[in-house]
Amino acid sequence: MTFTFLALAVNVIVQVVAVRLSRGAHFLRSVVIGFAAGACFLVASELALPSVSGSFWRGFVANPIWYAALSYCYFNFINLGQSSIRIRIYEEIRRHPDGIPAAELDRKYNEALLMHMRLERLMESGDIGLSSGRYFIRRKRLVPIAMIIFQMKRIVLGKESEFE
Amino acid sequence: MDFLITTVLLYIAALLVHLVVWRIKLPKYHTRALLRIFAGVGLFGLSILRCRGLSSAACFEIGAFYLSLALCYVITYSALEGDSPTLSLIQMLSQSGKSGVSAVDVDAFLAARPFIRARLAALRTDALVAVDEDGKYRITGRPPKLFQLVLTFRKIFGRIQTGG
Repeated sequence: MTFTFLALAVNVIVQVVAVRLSRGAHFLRSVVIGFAAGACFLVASELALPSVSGSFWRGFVANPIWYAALSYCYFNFINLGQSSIRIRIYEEIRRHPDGIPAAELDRKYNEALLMHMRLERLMESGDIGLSSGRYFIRRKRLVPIAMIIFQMKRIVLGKESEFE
Repeated sequence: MDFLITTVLLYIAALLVHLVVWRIKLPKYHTRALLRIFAGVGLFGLSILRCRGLSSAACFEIGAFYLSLALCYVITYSALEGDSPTLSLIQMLSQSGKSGVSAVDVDAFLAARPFIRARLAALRTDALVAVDEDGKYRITGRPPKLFQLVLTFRKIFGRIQTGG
């Protein structure tokens, strides 16, 4: 347990230092670097002091799963502040103690603009392409994630979309 | 190995209770209901283990591991509860195959999914923001602890230019 939480601490510190050093330019890269640093620390600790965990299963199966789970929570927590529309809108309203008119909020968080930016970002990353006025999948890396999420939606919620 | 198996069994039990409850009736506050289910199943399972002679230290470790896994699910669930604009788009394009989708159809698809309005409505449902008589959005009371933590982390990171 101790190694797992120490590994998470290493992950957090390295990730924060990496993102600060790059001045926010490589957020996702900093997440990968932080995770790798924590994982290296965990493996090295388990190899150096195997008696602490007590067994192979605990040291090299349970603890790495635990570390991955904690890192997943941490990644989603920090990602929430960067990408969550909900958090951004909430922060925007919070910045106006006297209230923000609906029209101004609509101007700042415009549906069409948001979608345009998402499309642009997906095209820049090479995930989708545009040819002869038609959008298509270019890189399939997000397709399995989308399939899993929508399958889970069907199982848990019984529908595919919140807008159904 | 017992540590891993016990935790996973507790986790599966909580997921099953969650699925059964969701099949009977969708709760109004999904995240709150999920947290209650995980807490209830966890405490019930751990008290049985304690009664059957498991040490307090072992129960604490199992509880901590279980809590990490539970948080992973609660985080992932937020992606199920509300649609992601990016994943919705990827799903739609992947279903269309190699022929792709015309820009007009993509626009129509996204227009039918007002993501920002949905997030704003969720903030109002959760009573985090309210609309005045003069049509202005305002924060209601102090921000919840999680929001405060996320906003603090945003300050630590500074400005994120890409990713997320």
